[in-house]
Amino acid sequence: MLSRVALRAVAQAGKGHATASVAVVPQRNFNDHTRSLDERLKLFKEVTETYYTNPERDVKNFPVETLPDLPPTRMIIFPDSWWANLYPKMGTSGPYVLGLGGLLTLFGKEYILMDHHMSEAYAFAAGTFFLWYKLRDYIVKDTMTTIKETNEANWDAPKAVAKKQYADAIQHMETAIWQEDGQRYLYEAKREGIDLQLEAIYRQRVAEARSEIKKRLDYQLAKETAVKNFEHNYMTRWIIDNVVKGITPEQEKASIAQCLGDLKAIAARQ
Amino acid sequence: MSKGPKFFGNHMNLGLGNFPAEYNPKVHGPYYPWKWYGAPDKAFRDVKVGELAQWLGRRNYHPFALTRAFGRGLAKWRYNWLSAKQPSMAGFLQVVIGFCVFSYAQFLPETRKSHRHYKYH
Repeated sequence: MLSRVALRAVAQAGKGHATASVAVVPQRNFNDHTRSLDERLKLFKEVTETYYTNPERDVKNFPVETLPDLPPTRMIIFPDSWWANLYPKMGTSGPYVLGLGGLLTLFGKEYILMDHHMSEAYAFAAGTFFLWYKLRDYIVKDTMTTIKETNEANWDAPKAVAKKQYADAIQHMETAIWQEDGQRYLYEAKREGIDLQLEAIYRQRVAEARSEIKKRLDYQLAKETAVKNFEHNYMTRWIIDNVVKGITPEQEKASIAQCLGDLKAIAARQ
Repeated sequence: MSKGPKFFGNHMNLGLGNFPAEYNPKVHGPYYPWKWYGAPDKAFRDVKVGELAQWLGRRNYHPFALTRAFGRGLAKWRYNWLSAKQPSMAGFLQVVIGFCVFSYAQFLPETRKSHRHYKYH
């Protein structure tokens, strides 16, 4: 929160009075994941726009500095820029003459005294030169190894890990998207299957309804037929009975006589 | 917006712990402690002897200004000699030899009393 407050204050200070100074150095804790992604992106944008891509930015006079190379030296410790600055006035050997002459003047006027402690200076100079001459390569090699390992451990390795994690995440997402595309076809197939099941159930129910209706209609038909048959049989029986009942003995006798006559006539013809 | 620690109410504002008043992040970008963000003056190596008094008159001799100048120099030295891509013994030896010279100069008046060989120079 501190850094956002500070940034907002900087932005307001830039608007209002340009001389207002910034009291709080922006706190940049990149491991703070309590902020939401939108907040962090907004903060990143604010910082970038304030410090780097601002249209008022004077990149020519105030460039973004990188890790420097070691300045060139002469006689192990003295920076070469001293010679460079004195070259227009004194030439190549002038600074050496100045230094040596100054030293000799100090000795001559006894501003530097040759007391018994001076031997320590010679011993120190000799020992330092000896160590520098003997151990320089080893120290440089060891230092560069340490620097390389530190950079590897603190910069390259985390970057590689992060890259791998993000690549894995992207791969995972792409697989998920691909699977999500497949889900569409799977959904269609499932839907088609359910449609088929519904169709089958519908047809089964239609068939059931048909058979049930047919049963009922058959029952009605059978009932009607039975009633008709019964009525028919009853009427027939009733008529026959009444006809049989209505035949008198004389009619029977006449009938038998008729039959006999007919039989005799048939027999005579044969 | 606080302008730094306030020791005696609002009457005394020392500006400690602040960025320099001239520093504007919109113009200057990221802050580097060894940089001078005020109006640039002529470099010391370009100053002629006749202009030297004038040049010195333009300097700020306030104790805080001197402290900040010392801090800028220290930061620049550290940036150049210790934070380099491939540092060497040079920075370390500069400090050690500087301490030697300082220590020698500290006891020089005492030494000169007893170790002088010549009376007249």
